[in-house]
Amino acid sequence: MDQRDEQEFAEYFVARREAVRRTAFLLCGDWHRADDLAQTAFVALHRRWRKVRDKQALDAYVRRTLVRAVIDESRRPWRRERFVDEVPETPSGDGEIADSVATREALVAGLRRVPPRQRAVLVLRFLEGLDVAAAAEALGCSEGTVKSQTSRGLEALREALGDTIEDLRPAS
Amino acid sequence: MDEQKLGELFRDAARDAPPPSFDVDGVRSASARATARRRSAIALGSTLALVLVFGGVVATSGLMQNSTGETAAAGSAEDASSPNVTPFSTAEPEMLPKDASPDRSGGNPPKSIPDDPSTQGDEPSGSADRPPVGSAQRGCVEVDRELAVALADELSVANASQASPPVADCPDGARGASFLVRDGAVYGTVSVVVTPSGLVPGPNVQYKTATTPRGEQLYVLSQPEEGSSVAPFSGELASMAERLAARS
Repeated sequence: MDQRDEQEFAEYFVARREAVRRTAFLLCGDWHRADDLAQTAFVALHRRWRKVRDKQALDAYVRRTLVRAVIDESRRPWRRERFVDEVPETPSGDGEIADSVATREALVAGLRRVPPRQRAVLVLRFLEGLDVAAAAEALGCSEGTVKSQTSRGLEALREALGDTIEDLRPAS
Repeated sequence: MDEQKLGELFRDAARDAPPPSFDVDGVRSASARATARRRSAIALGSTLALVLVFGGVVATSGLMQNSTGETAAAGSAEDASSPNVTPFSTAEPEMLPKDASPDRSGGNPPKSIPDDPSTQGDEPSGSADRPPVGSAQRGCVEVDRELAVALADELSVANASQASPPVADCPDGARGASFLVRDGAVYGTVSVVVTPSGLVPGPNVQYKTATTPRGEQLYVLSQPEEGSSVAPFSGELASMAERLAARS
């Protein structure tokens, strides 16, 4: 890449690094693996930077690369995720801060019990704020699949969390 | 369920991020390494493909050279005036049996018919001008072809050219032939001798005689193999002698 391309990439990297890391964290539940996955996505983008003509589609490309990396990694035997019956212990304590930390950790732990593809749909829709069409493009599937995966993913998250988070209770 | 509240929960869960463990320089160097690996893999694959193609070309040209060399060697042995004749055509006459009939060879009968080599030290054979069979000029030291063929018919021997001189103490003017035969589990030699005078068979030899239309005596003798006392075809010697005498 020439100097101008490198400069553009560096600007994009600085602007989007934290968002990509957060998405990767909710997808895998671990900050170290999240950094590895985010770096993988940025390396893929750097290698194809000159070929990406539509700079508006950069976010979609990075999302797609990231989600594929997470799902591919979850299929590897030595990294295959295993579900456990018990949710990890939540920090004890009183007060609003303790409740907030407990809620966050419970959500991350609950997400790890959701199947990878459903988890990706939930993260893209509720963290990234994508609509059904954008999520379908990022995942390379149909909109109907996104809707069904969203429904199943939320159901799996509710089962994993129980009554820990009130907002995930089904509307009656 | 409120999607907005759910979004806040997700964003809040990923809020306290630790310092990043990679920067843009790390991404650039990792990208360069990945590109170099990719180029190395492509170069290796191309080299391997080239080696395979080159090896295939060399092997093919080697095979073609071999086949061309063989064709040239065969062609050089041919008559220059007949380049279209296949290399095998020159060897074809040698594949014909030595006793091939004139009809099979398609031409005139040769003047000289080679006979089986004699180990008895007699004169060279093969002359078409030799005396007719039955003149009894050479005695019993040579295989008589006519008797050999007749005896081969009687003993069901496939190749009459395997005949040997008769195993008998032949007088002058006698002629004959013999075969090494197997009669079930019995091995031995069956001979036929035609003689104008008498014949004294050796010990342990069974024989039958008959008179030919020319008035000669025909003997069919059966001698068991060494160490055995049972002679092959001993029960059929009489009938065999009758039939052979009628054919002589």
